[in-house]
Amino acid sequence: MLSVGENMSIASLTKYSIGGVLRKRKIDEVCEAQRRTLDLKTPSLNQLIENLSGGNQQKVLISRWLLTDPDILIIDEPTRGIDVGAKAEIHRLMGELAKQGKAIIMVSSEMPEILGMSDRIVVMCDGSLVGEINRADATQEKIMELATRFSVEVVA
Amino acid sequence: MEKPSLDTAALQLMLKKFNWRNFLREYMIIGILIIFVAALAFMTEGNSIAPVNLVNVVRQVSAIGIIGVGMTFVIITLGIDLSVGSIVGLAAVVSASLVQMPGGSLVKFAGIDLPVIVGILAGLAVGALAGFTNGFLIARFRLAPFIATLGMMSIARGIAYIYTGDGRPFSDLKPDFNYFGQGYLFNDPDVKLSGIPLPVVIFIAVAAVATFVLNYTKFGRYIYAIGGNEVAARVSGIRIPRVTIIIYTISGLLAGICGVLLAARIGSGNATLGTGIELDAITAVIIGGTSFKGGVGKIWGTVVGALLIGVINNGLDLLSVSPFLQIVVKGCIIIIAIIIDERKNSKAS
Repeated sequence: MLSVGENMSIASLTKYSIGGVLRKRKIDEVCEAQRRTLDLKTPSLNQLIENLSGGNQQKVLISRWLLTDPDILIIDEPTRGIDVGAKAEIHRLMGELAKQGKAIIMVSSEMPEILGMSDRIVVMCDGSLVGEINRADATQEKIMELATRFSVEVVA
Repeated sequence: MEKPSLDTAALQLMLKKFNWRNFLREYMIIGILIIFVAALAFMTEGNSIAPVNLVNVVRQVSAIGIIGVGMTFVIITLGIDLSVGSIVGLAAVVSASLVQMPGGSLVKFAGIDLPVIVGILAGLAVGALAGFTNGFLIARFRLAPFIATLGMMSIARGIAYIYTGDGRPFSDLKPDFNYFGQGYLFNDPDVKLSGIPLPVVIFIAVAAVATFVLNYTKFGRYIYAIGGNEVAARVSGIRIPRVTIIIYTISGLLAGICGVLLAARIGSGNATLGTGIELDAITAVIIGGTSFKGGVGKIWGTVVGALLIGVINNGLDLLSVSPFLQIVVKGCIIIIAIIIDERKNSKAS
């Protein structure tokens, strides 16, 4: 079982090791920094991740990928099944990351989240792209109209 | 006056925060070992803790322990390696056949006089190759570790018998080779029983390196990650097939080392060497606290587990318990250890 800290660093160990040997102090440092920026609620980085709440587990996983220092972050349903407080925090975090210049591709099926977070919305229906809407023009109706544009052949 | 009282308060807080149940769960095995050693010492009227016997026990333990270290890696990743016992036999006959004294009886390669190191390396290479094959079958063809290593268990033993021709062991080995199984480090010829038997030295070295690998390297972290949650490990970018192949190769290599040491210890390479040692090694790993459910395990636990098995084996011998009954006892120990593992890890989660 991996601890919170180990879970955070697992995808970026190559960066934090020399010749395969872990730079433990460095890893603790960056994990601690992540813990503070994301306001992660855990008694310690040595805690097992399964003991954390769903929202905090999600934050750990976001940290995991942030530690790899990506330019583009693809997030699939980032707030599914977590409580409202954690949801707002994750949204705030995504906003901050975007401000730092990271591109975020968020996949979501939750309307308010899409409308609230996106600069550009790409709608898919039945496995294919059906339209693109800018933030200014985005409304629930438009998105739903695109999302239900099933082809006639399928219906018939 | 104030300071000491503060310290007591801090100490009390520490004691309160200290999780006794976890502590007991973690180190219970050491207590059990001490109880067994004491009980056996009592029952054998001290014979079991006589220096001669202790040296004997630790030497036996080193064989189980070296294999147990590889088995720990394997079991942490939710695998199993049943082939180690047969690999021991194969490595033993291969290395022994290359270090026979020219002009001895039943020489496999008459007229060839190779340096001892060639025989040793050949034994290790055979072990590593068998282990690599296990890993390759598991990673590439997605065979269950149980199946792949069960097959290898049969294949390696079979090859070992075929290699010996008529099944007779290769004896008349060079003294330099036997030294690795029979010699001592820091031996003072004037003092009886001084020094540490070489197999024990090698066991300690293997355990130390493995502990370092598990705790301080990327590879070690990957092993725990795969055992904890294989899907999560894969999506985190860990190349699972590669890690799997390396793990089984290590297990095979350690079995090879064990085969060479056992051949050197008894001064002959016998195809039946190592029969059943996989069970002892698995038992040592499990009673050492490594979970069959994966992701959890420590090398020191396996070391203590191997010591416990060695002490029990030896104690039963000293008490003249029938060897057949001993096998029954061993089976019971495995089952009890797994019941404890089951309870421990279902409570923990």
